[in-house]
Amino acid sequence: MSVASSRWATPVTPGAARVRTVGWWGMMLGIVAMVKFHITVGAAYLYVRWGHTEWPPAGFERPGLTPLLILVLPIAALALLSWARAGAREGSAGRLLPAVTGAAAIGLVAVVLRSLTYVNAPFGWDEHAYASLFWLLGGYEIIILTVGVLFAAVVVVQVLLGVVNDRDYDVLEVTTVYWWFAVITSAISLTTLYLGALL
Amino acid sequence: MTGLLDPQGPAAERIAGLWWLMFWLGLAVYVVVLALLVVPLLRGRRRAAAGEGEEIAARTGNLLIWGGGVVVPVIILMVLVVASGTVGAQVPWNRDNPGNQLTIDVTGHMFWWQVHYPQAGFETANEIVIPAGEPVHLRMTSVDVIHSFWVPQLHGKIDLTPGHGTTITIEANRPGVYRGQCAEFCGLSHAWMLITVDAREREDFDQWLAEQAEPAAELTDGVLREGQQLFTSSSCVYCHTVRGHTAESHVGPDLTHFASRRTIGAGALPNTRGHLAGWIVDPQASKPGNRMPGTDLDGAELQLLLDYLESLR
Amino acid sequence: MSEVPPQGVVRDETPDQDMLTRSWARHPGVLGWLGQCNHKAVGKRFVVTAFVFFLIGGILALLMRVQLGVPEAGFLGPEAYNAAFTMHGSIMMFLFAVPILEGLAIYFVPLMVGARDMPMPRLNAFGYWAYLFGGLFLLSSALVGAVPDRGWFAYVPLTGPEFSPGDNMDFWLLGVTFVEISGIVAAIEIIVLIARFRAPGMSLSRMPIFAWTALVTSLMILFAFPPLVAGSVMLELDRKIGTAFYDPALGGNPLLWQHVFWYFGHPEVYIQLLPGVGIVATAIETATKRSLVGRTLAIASIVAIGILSFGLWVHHMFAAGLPTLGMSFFTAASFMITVPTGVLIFSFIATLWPGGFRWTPALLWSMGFVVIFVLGGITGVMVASVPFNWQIHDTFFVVGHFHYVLIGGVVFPIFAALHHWLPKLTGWAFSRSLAVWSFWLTFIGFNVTFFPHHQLGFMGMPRRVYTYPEQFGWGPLNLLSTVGAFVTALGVLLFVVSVAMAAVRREPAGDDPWGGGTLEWATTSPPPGYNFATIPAVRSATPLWDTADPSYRSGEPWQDEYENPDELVRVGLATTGLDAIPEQVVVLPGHSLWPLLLALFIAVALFGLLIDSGLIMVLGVLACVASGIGWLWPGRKP
Repeated sequence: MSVASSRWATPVTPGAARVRTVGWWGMMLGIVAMVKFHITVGAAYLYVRWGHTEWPPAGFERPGLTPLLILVLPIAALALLSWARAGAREGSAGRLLPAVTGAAAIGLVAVVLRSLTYVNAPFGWDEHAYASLFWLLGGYEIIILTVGVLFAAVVVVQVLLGVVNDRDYDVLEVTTVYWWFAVITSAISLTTLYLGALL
Repeated sequence: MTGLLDPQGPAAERIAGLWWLMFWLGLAVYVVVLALLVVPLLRGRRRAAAGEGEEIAARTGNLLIWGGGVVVPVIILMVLVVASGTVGAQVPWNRDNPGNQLTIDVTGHMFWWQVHYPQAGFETANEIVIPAGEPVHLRMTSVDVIHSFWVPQLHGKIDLTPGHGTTITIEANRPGVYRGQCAEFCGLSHAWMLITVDAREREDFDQWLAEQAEPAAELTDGVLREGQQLFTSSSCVYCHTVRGHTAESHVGPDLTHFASRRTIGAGALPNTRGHLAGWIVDPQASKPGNRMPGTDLDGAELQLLLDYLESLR
Repeated sequence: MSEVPPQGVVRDETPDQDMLTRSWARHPGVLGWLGQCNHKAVGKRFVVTAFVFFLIGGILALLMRVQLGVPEAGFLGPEAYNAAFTMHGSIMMFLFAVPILEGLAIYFVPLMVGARDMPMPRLNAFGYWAYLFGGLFLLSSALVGAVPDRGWFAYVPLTGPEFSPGDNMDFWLLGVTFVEISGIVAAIEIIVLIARFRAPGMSLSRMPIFAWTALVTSLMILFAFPPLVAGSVMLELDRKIGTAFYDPALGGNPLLWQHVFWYFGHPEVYIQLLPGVGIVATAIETATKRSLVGRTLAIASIVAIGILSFGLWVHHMFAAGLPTLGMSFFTAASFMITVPTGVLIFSFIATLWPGGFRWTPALLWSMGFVVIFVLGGITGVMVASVPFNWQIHDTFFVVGHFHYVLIGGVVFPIFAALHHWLPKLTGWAFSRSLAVWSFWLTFIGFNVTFFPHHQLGFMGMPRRVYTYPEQFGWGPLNLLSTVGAFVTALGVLLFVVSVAMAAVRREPAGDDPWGGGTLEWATTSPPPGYNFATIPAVRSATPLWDTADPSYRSGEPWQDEYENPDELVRVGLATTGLDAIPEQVVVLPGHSLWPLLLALFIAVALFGLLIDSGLIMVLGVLACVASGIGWLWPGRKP
């Protein structure tokens, strides 16, 4: 039986510095595609917005700014992941479990809080194109954060299984890259929906 | 031939002129490229001496690529940008009415054209009558899906989009009947959404306008009154209007002066008694997917209805 | 300055070919066949599947031509005709042209760059299954009589909930989105392959033109497909849960769909054209035994076309009633693309100029490309002129124009590619006379079919009409066009016959029947599972014309690991992005059923969405998550 995974790679020069793995490249390009998706929905938001003199349209109250505070959570999760990765790079595996578990937990809290602000929106998605865009941009952001939590959870399991350690931590590298993207997505969505509506 | 290369209005004439410029330039380019391709193909198998081919290729390559690929196209394209921009600026398309033009509102429906003359205050369908030799301002919108208004001998096309108003200014040089049809796929009977622009001398146009603005005449003939009775008491009036005889409804075409029109069902059939009978009984047969339901009138009722409709001149 | 890798220095060890063969063999049985991830298996599947879809799309075209052959024909009603043109366009654009070119790239680019496999073989396999199930999803609409019938462009509001209440458009939106995801996956694969898996010494400047076009195309897919996915998601939400993105009554905008669709749709055309250009360049280089004259300029033109193609989308909306000033910008941008295209055409002519070449079947089809595509390009310039576009937009002139571009620019090169590479892929020799007959029938039939369309457009015939009244006088030209369509079909049929005959005869083609300069000709026909026992070293864009045996020989320890890996471990070599200097030896997976299962469960979830069954949808999504976990589960470390 041939092996089923491409997680192993050995540098051609023994002891050479680690280089970007194939999976890292794949994740970067996947992120490019998702960013393009986000840009399209964002452009649709602006396109629809420019067709209206009043925004949010008449009859819709302006959303408050409090949900913007939720952004602190994904940033904290990203910080923890980066801290764990820095540890692995320096050869200390001790940080891996607490930091990644912490990141997953904080990420989960972010998803829950974000979902609460979302389902409590004072309008339904079928009331106006503004409401539809609000629900789509917010929903996309929540999905991106949820996938990030799943990734972090997978890393936790792999740390527990001993598959991820201070020598093999490509999955952690890839997860950290993903969380950069998740934080930026969250920031853009929140700004568009809560700050953008004030302009 | 009644297409866009037989222009009958100033806009279509300018665009046809642009076409002929592009045609001759394009033809010249195509002939030259093919000639340059044929030269080496005819040389074909004749094998050059070792290294000679590379030398020839390098020598002529730069000339061909920079000359043929860059310099000549750039010159031709600059000519075309100017020509295209000039024609685009000359041809009135999606502009405001300067104020002195006759305005007509055209509204797209699946699958017919609602035509409203706001200044004279009446409505008709599928045939736009305009005065020849005068620019006429058409304001367009749609009540359902996107349609596109196109009468090739007069002008290019413009879309009728729900929630998005557009305009076009058409003008016919001479009196005549100019044919067009919907150019944006709009559903099952897209193929049968035809339109006619009927340009008339100014005085004929004024007379037509006055006639059309009148409501349908009070009927005295007993048979016709029976037909009117049948029409107004049937489901016809849910969609159709005969001004003076029925309440207003704009779902289907206004029939006040129906008998003065050339066709039935936006060009699907000529407006003759036989075709009209067939249309009323089973409109889906000749124009599948149109919104008019069939009727189950008996023969006598049908004849009464036909008499009535044919009286609406 | 790229490094010059060592070549031909004899080492003591020789590759253990038996071990390599065992490691790269597929697993036994049906499951082994289904679980294949190797780029050759996946690429072959893409090509064969896409060709079957091509034949289906072609049959639909013939049905349409029969209906239009005479005025007011009753062969197809409007329902069937609308379904036929919708599916013809959708199949040719989404299920044939892009996938077959991806398949050729997946099969041949690894060989051309000297790699053993794609960098992420399981993701690659997933791309195929997503494509297959997406395509079958779209076609399965015929089983329940809900074939999409609103055009491949799917303009709202006609496709919205109010005017398309049936499941037809849901089949289209979900199926097409699934295929788009497959396209994005394949694009990511190809980009990583080219960035990381090129043989030592193959700096970007030495990469074959076809690989260049595959790279540029993949980048374009990455930027063009997600917008259509976004647009489709919004439309499907409008249809399923009543959002109002496109509903003007609730503040939405139907023109938004047109912007999003053509933002995807225009690059899509060049996504298909550029690989075609790469194939034609390959055919010309091989026939003349010369590198493309002006190669650097040609590559720059390919990149330029890729970038410019994103600035043209509004020229599909010139009749929509947008501000005229903005539109003239798009005219200028559309005109500009003529320059890089002209450079490419003249680069081809200059390469042929000295004569002295071999008339290979691929060259014949490539010359068909030049003759047809240049005409389509010239009418394309005309179409980009705003006032002229007002007249011919949505007429048969445009139908003629884009068939010249797409059949000339895409289908002819695809046939060139099949004639060029099928001997490598199958190992069989193909009949030359059948290739020539098939070419001339297709070439003449094509022109008879589509040249009259320009004239029909001038006579006022709009697109997408299922019939027309006799008095319009469009009958004779339409009949001529129908006759031409059947001649074209005969040409395609002869190609199928030629493949069947080659399969029956099984005459060996030889490893290098055309004397090609790129690395795929350095291995056997068909290539072994591991492609190359010893990694090739590259010193120019045409390594096989420098030396018959380009094997890399340095005696470094990694080469031993590469040539004599542990039992049943597949290894490949990753190199640096710009200069292709060896960097790491990578273990590649060889068999997995998770990609198939993941694609299958996505299809189940989409089916649940289609029939409004929340239960099936949730089960499908959960099964997808489970497959994802199975996929990511750490395997045995070698």
